Amino acid sequence: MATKIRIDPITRIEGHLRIEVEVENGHVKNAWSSSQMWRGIELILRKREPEDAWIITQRICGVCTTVHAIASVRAVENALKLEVPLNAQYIRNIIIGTHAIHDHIVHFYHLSALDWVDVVSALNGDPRKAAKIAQSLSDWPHNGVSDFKAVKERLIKFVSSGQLGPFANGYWGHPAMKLPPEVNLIAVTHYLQALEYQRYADSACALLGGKNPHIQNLAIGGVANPINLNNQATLNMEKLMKLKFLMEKAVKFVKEVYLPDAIALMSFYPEWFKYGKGVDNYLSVPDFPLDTKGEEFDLPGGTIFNGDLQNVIPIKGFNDPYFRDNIKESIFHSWYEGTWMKHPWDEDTIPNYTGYDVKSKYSWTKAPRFIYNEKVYPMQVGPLAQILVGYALDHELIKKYTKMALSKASEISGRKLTINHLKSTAGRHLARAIRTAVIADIVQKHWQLLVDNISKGDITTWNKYDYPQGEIRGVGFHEAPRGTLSHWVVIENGRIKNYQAVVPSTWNSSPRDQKERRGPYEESLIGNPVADVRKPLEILRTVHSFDPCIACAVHVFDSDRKESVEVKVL
Amino acid sequence: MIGIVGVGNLLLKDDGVGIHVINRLRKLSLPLGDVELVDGGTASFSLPVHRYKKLIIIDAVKSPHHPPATILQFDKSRILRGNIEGVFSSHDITLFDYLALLEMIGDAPEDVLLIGVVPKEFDTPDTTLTPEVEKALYEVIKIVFKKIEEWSKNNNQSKTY
Repeated sequence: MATKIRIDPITRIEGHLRIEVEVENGHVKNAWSSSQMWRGIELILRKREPEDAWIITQRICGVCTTVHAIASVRAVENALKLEVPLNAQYIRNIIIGTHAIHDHIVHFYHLSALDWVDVVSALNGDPRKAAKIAQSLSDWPHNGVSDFKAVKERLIKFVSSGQLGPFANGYWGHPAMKLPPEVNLIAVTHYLQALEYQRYADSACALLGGKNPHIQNLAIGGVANPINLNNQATLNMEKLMKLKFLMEKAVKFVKEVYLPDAIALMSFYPEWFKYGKGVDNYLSVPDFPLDTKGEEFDLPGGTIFNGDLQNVIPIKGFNDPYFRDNIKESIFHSWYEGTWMKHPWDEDTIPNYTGYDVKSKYSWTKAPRFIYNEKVYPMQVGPLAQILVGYALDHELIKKYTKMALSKASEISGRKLTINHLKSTAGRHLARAIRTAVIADIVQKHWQLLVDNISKGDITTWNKYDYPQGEIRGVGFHEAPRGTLSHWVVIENGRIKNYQAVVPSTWNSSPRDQKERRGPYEESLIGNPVADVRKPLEILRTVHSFDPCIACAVHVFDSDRKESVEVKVL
Repeated sequence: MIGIVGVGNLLLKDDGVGIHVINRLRKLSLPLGDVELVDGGTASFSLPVHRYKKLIIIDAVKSPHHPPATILQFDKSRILRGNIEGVFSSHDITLFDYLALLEMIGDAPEDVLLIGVVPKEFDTPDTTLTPEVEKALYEVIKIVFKKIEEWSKNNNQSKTY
């Protein structure tokens, strides 16, 4: 007898997501993903000046502020056919990189590690044994007996005071929790250390962006950071050195803590390299542009269909028609007027809420799809997509870190893990850590490129532009921490006529389309184990592995007992 | 240093009340020097709250027990105890959890006051407040001033960096 479980949010503004699954014999048989909130950003932007768009779109989401700003300026620049000075590209790239490092660290430790780590079990961890294990995995200097002992004492104090905070709603003691107490203690210790180190990446981002959490330094055509090495009020050598210091702190944490932890943690759960594969088509876009036009990049993009890495198709640049012309969104199952499938420039946004009904309309999220050879594909986006595309395209850094991670994970888990195992719940976490290590290298390179370029005497940060009469169209894309983000703008006589944001979580949390093809979250849950329908930890593991911009409350409906339990989960 | 952090989504009507308060405060001249105003948006982990010795958070707080525009106040121990029954902010969890984590590693502000305003409309895409909540802004600002004065009297020393 199938049991239906509904995971429904209460409070998150980043986007209210409802996941409904049907469980039979301990496994998920069917799944629906529904966004319960409409953002309406498109309507707020209409008729405004294009210069307002990046400031307003930053407010869409609390986690991914800078990414919308970046995609938005790129969209308007694309419409204007405007090039961006090298200094501005490098400054933006350092913002993109440090933001991604911050975001990935927070996601791994603070938003998803507790799906795998049992805080209560950590109380029984022996600090000596923990130190021995941790030191065998990494040279990190804060893996000493005294470090683990101090955290254990703090944890005991915290738990006995009854102030559980973020630990209050965990599934402690759940049968799917399998780490030894010492590994739990290591993970909790790094969870707390990560609080400090994510700040270094964030401060680096804020140093250039001018303000936390919404950056202020962007401009259509460049950035608003004047460069003068001899002026205190501008970007000078002192600030650049401070930036370097902050980046190095964060990079060290990524290399010595985050990446080894992600490898070790997932290796302790080798069965999760089998679950959660989902949609086997992948999309990523190139990022970290190295030139003024956006034709050369440090991170690659492209598409993979039906899991076939041999036939990867690269996306070459900001003007590549392969990306621009082949994206459409379906509203067949979404609460908008009509049943159309349209290109983002041609869409309208007329809300029409008709109630939750999986047979007709059940989500505010549209269903973005990629068209290739006249076939329509749902696509999985995110770090996994980028790692697979980069691996298939022989990207040097991606290959290096992927091979290292897979070989280390094979060693710890005692199973032969290959690139195809990354297409899984555990693999998405590993791919994200690999991507962070790759970006850690790239962001330092771009700091050097910026310094070298300024040293040559180039201090240009902005290019002038004018709006032509009539209508122009642009698309700006950005490989954000959660995956491919694109903003689509239609400008008429210098005013916004239409604006659409196709965000990573729209790709991944997409509902079904007119052909009843499931979106990536929905597909990834099929076959997922669920040991206890009242504590659907395994569902959260798979959904969290995508890094959704949400946290949600679990609302479980057990149809056999006709009872309903509500549990809040981060 | 005292930090005054407004949080909320400016694009969702009354949900953005915290940001509106910060914008109003910026236009006034604060009576005291060592105060920083932060437009926190909907962030949590990116908020520099660890930098302040004393912290005021202004947020929309949904409550089934109170009419729109009601102002509710919660102190630090109440916030750290976790979710307040029947009353929760629409963007509390991560910021409050973040504060609890900072407390755990000894990085949390000494004093925290949450000023919550019960929103009337919070799911309409719009950057303005409803008239009811707009009116409550003045009361919120009064509470903020009073608190700054009280904290400054009790403690003339600032955390220095």
